[in-house]
Formats: sequence, structure tokens, C-alpha cells
Amino acid sequence: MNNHPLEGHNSEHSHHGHEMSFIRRYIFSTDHKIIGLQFFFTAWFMMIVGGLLALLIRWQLAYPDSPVPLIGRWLWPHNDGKMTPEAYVATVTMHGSIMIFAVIIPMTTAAFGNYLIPLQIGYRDMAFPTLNMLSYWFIWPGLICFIASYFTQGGPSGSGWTAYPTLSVIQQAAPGSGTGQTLWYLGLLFVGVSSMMGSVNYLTTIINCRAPGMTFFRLPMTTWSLFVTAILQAFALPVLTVALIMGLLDNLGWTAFFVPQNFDGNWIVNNFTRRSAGGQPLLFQHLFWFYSHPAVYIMVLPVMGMASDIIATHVRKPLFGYKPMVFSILGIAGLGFIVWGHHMFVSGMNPSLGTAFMVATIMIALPSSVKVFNWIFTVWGSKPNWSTALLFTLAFVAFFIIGGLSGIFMASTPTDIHIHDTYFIVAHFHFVIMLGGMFGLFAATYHWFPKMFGRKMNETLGKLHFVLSFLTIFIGFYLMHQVGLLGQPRRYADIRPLVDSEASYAIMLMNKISSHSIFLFGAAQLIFVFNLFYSMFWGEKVDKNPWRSNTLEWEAPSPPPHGNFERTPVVYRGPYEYSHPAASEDYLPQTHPPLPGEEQYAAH
Amino acid sequence: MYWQKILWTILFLSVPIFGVASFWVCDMYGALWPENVSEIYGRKIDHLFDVIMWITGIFFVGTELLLVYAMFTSKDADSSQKADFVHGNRTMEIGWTLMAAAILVFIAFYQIPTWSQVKIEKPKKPADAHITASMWMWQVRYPLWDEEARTPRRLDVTQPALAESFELVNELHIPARETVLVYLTSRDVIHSFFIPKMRVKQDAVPGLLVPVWFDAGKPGTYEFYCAELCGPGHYMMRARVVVHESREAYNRWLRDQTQRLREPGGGPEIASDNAGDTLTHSVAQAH
Ligand code: HEM
Ligand SMILES: [Cu+2]
Ligand SMILES: [Cu+2]
Repeated sequence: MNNHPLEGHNSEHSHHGHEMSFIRRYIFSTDHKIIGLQFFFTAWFMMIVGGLLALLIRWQLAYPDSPVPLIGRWLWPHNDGKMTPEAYVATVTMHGSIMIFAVIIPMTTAAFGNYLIPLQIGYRDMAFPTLNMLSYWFIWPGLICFIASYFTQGGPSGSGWTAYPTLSVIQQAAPGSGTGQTLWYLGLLFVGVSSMMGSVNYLTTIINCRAPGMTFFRLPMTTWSLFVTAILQAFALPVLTVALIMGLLDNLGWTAFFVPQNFDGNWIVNNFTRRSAGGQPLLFQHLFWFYSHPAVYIMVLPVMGMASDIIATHVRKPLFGYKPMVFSILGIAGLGFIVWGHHMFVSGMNPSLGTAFMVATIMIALPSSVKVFNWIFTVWGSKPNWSTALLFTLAFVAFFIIGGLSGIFMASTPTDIHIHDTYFIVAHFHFVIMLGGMFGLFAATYHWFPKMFGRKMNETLGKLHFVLSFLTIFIGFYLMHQVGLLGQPRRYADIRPLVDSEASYAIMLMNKISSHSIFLFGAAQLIFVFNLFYSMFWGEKVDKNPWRSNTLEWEAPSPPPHGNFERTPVVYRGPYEYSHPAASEDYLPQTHPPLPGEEQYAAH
Repeated sequence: MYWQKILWTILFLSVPIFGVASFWVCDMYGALWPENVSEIYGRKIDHLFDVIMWITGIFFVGTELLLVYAMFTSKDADSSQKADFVHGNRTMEIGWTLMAAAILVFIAFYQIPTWSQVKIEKPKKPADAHITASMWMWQVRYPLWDEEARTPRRLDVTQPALAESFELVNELHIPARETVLVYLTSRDVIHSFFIPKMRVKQDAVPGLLVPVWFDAGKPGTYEFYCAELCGPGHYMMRARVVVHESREAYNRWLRDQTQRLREPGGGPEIASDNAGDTLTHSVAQAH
């Protein structure tokens, strides 16, 4: 198969469409849509795994003294069915690692990225289909490492998703720092390779394979954001890879990049001189956050892009400020590379450096706020259809505002001293990634489901799912701000009692409310899972463009066949010409030939 | 469709309402901030908290209401009107960019002096204590009392294990109403020294010796604990700060401890029931 992006046309696809075996077609497929769906289902599955771990964490925070229902007596018989501290830190670690590296990043970049990029730019596949297939199969060794770590002697890693040395590199330091930690490093390395393959592919595809007329400034925001995300991946990931390899070598006891001088077995004997020769634990933090700060934008930029497309489509109005939206994505990405030190204000890093990182971090709130205003003014004067996809997207906006504003408290160095490593941080990043990002992904699922399966998800169930999720998750996570300000630290297996805190009672009460809200949230997701599978087989059948959307993916049949388009689409305009006065309908697809007098309405 | 619009508007209105109300209720019951016992540093930090809380609070309510208002005033899905055909507005874009930039620049520069004071401009005074964190305890080393000079001896923080000092576990004694300077390090993994009521936090990193300064205006006993994941026992790494009435009272305490140490078979008062049994001590506090 010759799939070089620069040659061949979409018409050439049908030659090898038929003879493919089941395995080539659905398992080792090189079709971007199948690969996208493979990522989609894998990530939703890992979401369930990570979500169950989260429920365990919430149980422990609310009822540190009670056995875990159902599974406690079976898993921790020697501890009366109560979770052990070892199990708690392992749970926190694996919850974070799975959610970030096996759910959100694969879901945003790999699942929706794969599915949507070729369709939105009007091409038949990714530029490198085989590489694309490999990128899917490379996450499996990673996932297997994660899962296997549960069956090692000390259990999975217990050093947090951030894996700070020296806890993570001294095998004797904690039960999870042994084989479990080694597997964690290996797992992440595999997942990283997968991301890198994806990112190279997306960049090549978007740069080279756009349909005639599809200029960069006619790209839908989803593709724009995936493009910028791929750049972030390409530049930040090598640094994480280096850090992981160094950590792995240290962990195996072969090197001492992150272990300070005079380490001899179990204890670090510290003579407080700063002679050379020793390693430096802070080095890992710098390398890690140099990747992981951009990584938080890797998680959220695609969601911002998808949210922009979904809002415009469902409120039937052009996206407000398309170019400012593009430039703010670029601004976030650029600034995202120089703010990593905000995770290290009290790490022992030179505090003067903290001031510089503080200024850069505060400035990153600027493009974020520009995006928020543009979304709000897209809704202004619009004509919403109040679909589930729209509601989830609006909720994404409402919650992202909270996450962005709490970021200001943490970006301010003096106030971060108090809230660093407390539940305030947990609240912040769940508001951006979980309540923001996940809600965006729910929206994307409701929105693009008809393209994937030719059927719509049930709207009634969708709205029920939305209302229940919205209220439970909002209350559940919002109260974490308060307990964080009160000083409740992260990653404590037992938070009782914060001894001299007159607020102990309030802290426990709020933790209980949080936990119960989040249990309800978990239950509400059953509606979603049911809806997903039910609609896949029995949902309402729809035509290829049920939302009356402008972008190219809706020109292809649903689900699109191998090769996507019957004819290479030709693009005449930007993606957001909804409610055009000169058009008879309230939408004007990018492929629709120019209308008489259309120019005079063009965006400026 | 009209009722749908009303319903969703109300639902989204719950965000600013619950957001503000829950903070307000917590504040009313004293369940928003730990008491602030610091008069010099912690107070400045709380002032910044107040400023940022007001700014972000106004923005929070403002933008959420703007979103709700936009939803509420949107056109009905079954009306014959089309949505407004608007692609943006350059004046508005420039306007809100400049407004946000001005506020952010203000926040950025307004806090710089405080940060310098709490983390950069190290007070010029001898070290009051040297703290070594390890799994899962805090070893606090104090200078011995010098009876001739009537001052504490000089604590050589680069050689803390040597003479001229004594050690307590999980107890940090400090005088009230003055800047206290301690040096922080770790013997094994990264820990973090956190006294919520004094708004101070600093990681203890193996291989680094980091100065930390803070103050307490109000005598009493407060909690400090570890804020950086340091293994399964992280949650029990809790300890006490004992704030003495005054410098004089603190010096008297140092002298007592020193004398006790000199007595045959003596040792520092509190260390005796801690030493070698730190975990039980922490656990006793934790439960
Ligand atoms: C308005 C923009 C934002 C600002 C100013 C901001 C600021 C910060 C700061 C200063 C920290 C470090 C706090 C600390 O550890 O003491 C932090 C942590 C974090 N942020 Fe943000 N942030 C912003 C947006 C985001 C977004 C969009 C995401 C993800 C989608 C995100 C995800 C995270 C995560 C995961 C952490 C915590 C990492 C950890 O310690 O485990 N942030 N943020
Ligand atoms: Cu960051
Ligand atoms: Cu700790």
C-alpha cells in the first residue's frame, strides 16, 4: 500500500477496501477512524478503571475508619477490610497516572485527533497510516505495565503521578518504589512513544494533506488546537522521555542522576556540603514539569478546540473572534513552555526564579480569559438548540472559568506557599481537567457519535446524564477549595484530625459531602455507558449531517467508509458561517460554492 | 423550547450562587481559613489572599452571570429569526484583552514585595533551629544555652550533628513576636514543612539546606505537618510548634534543657518520651 500523503487521491482508496480480512480491518487497522475508535474505547475503559480508583480514594477520605464496602474484606483482610496506607498512596498514584496518561491524553489527542483530523481537512487518512496503527499498539505495553504493577511484590508505585525522586528512585524507600515503580517508568515510556508517533503524524497530515481551498485560517478550531497540541507534544515529550530514562536507571540502581551525594543504601547521609559528584532531586522536577506543564495544555487545548466547534454549531452562530481564538491558543502554547517553575515555588528552587515564573504564569491567564469571553459572546444573540452536546460544552466553559481563576491564587507566589500541595490544588486541576476537560469530552462524544456510528445518542438520557453529572461533580469538587484553604494536605491516607484545627469538624463534613456527591456522579455515569452502547445499536438513525454543521467531516457518509470522501472536497470559506443572511438555510457548509454577494459579509 | 432555556439558565445560575454562598457560609463558621497567628509574614500573605479573592470573585460572578445572561437572552429555537451573523468585534477583543492584562499585571507586581520578604530576603540573624526530616518524623536541633554569654550558642547548621546542640523529635519551640530562622533538610526523600497557621511551607530536600523564616504573634501550641508525599506514612508525619510567650521565656526554656542535659542521666525534657519512639508519638497525635 502506498499511502504517501503527497501523492494519490481520495479516489484511489477503494482498491484495497474489500479484500481486507477482519483482523486487518478492525484490529491491526491502518484506517484513522478505526484507530480513533480503538483509542476511544480503550480510553473510556481506562476511565472506568481510573474512576473506580477515585471512588476508593473518596471512600478513604470520608470514612478513614470503616472497611471499604464490597471489596475491603477481600483485599485487606489483615486490616479489617480497611484500606492500608500503602494501598492508599498506590491508589492515588495510579488514579492520577491512568487518568492523565491513559485517559485524557489518549482521548483528546489520539481518539478524537485521529478520528477528526483527516475528516476535517478533507483527506482520506493520516499521512502515515502504519505509524498511526503502531501508535495505538504502543499504548498497550504501557497499560500492561501499569496493570502488571498490581501483581508485583510491593504493589504499584506509591510516589504520586509526579514520581518525585528520591522516593521514586530508591527502591528501598517504600514498598511501591521497587518493581512497581520500575514498571511505572516503563509504562510511561511506552505511552510517550505512542504520543510521539501520533504527534508527528498529525503535524505532517495537517501541513500537507489539506483539501484544496482549506487554508490554515479556514481550519476548524478542533484541527487548529490539535495542530498546536501536536507541536507541544513534539517539543515537550523528549524532555519527559529523558527524565523517565534517567529515573528508570536510577531506580535500577545503575546511576544517581537524582540521588544526592553520599547515598548509601537506605539512608541518604547528608553532610550538607554541596560538592559536585552527587545527583540532584530537583533536576527531575524541572525536567518533569517542563513536559507536564505543557501536558496540561495537551489535555485541554483539544477540548477547547472541540468546544469552539460544538458551541458554534449548536447555537447556530459564527464563532466569535476566530482569529483571536487561534492566537490565544498559540499564546497559551508558547507561554506554556516557560511557566513550569510554578509547580516548584517552594521546592527549594532559587526563590528569585520563582518571581520570573510567577509573572509568566499570571500572563497565561490572559489568553485563557480571551477564550472565555469569546465563547460567551458566541452564545450572545445566538439561537441555541439546547442539545446535550451544547449543554456539556457550556458547562465546560462555566467550570473552566473556576479552574482558571483558582490558578491565579496558585500562580501568585506568596499565596501559593499556603495552598501548594493542599486540596486547593486538587480542586484547581480537577476543575480544568475533570470538570472542564471531561465535560468537553462528553460533549464531543454526544456531538460526533452520529458521525462514528450513523446513529444519535438518546437525548433524554443525555440530558438526565447531564443534569445529574453537573450538580454532583460541581458540589463534589467545589468544596475542595475550602478544605484546601483550611490546610488539608494532598495524598494523606487519613486526614483526621488536623489536630489543632478548630475546623476539623467542618473539614470532615465537607469531605463527606464531597465523597457522596462524587459517588452519585459515579452512579450517573451508568446512564452514559448504557446510552453509549444502546445508541450504538438501537439509537435513532440519522443522515450524514444531523446537526446541520459546516465542517467537512459532515460531508462524508456516517460512518465514513474507508477513504472517507467520495470526491475530494473543495473548500470555499471558513468553518463557522452559520445563519448567513444570504443563505437559505441557517448553515453554509465549507464546501458550498460561493453565494452571490457573499463577499460583503465576510469576516474581517 | 422556551422552558428548556429557563431550566438550563437556572441550572447554570447555580454555579455562581453555590460558588459564592458556600465560601460565605464557610467563612461565617470560621471554616475557610485556619487562624492566622503570624503578625509579620503570614499577615502579608493573607492580605494578598484577600486582594486576589476579591478580584477573582468579581470576575467569577461577572463572567458566570454574563454566560447565564447570554443563554437567557438567546433566541428561541422555534422562532423564525436567524441567529445574529456576527464574527467578532475588534474593539471588544482589544478592550477585554487590555482590561485583563491590566488586572493581571497589577496582581503580578503587587505581590512581588511580599514574596521577597517571605522567601528571598533572609533575615540576618543566627539560626534558631535545624530541622531534619526523615521517614516519618522531624528531628529538631537547638543550640545549647551559653551561661557565660547569656545567649544561645551559635548553631553551626552545616555540622548539625556535632556538639553545642541538643535534639527534640516532632517538637519545634520558638519565641513569639520575632522572626524565627530555621534550616531545613531531609535525610531520605522529599518532605515539606507546613505550618498552616503561620502560612509557611517549604520542601525539605535531601542534599539541600534551605533557610525558612516565619513568625508567630500568639503564644500557644500549633500543628505542623508534612505536605509532600514521602511514602505510605506521609499522613502521620505531624508535629507541634510550641510558641513561647517571649524571647525571655524561650531563653529560659533553652537554659532548662541545657541544664537537664548536663545532669547525670539527664536529657532534654520532652525528647525523653519521644526518642526512639517517634512513630508512636506521631500516631498518638494522629488518632
Ligand atoms: C489560567 C490558567 C492556569 C493557571 C494560572 C494555572 C496555574 C497553576 C499553578 C500555579 C499550579 C501549581 C500549583 C502548586 O502546585 O502549588 C498549577 C497546578 C496544576 N494545574 Fe494549573 N493553571 C492554569 C490552567 C490549567 C489547565 C488548563 C490545566 C489542565 C487542563 C491545569 C492543570 C494543572 C495541574 C494538573 C496541576 C497540578 C499538578 C500536581 O501538582 O499534581 N492548569 N496550575
Ligand atoms: Cu503548570
Ligand atoms: Cu510527607
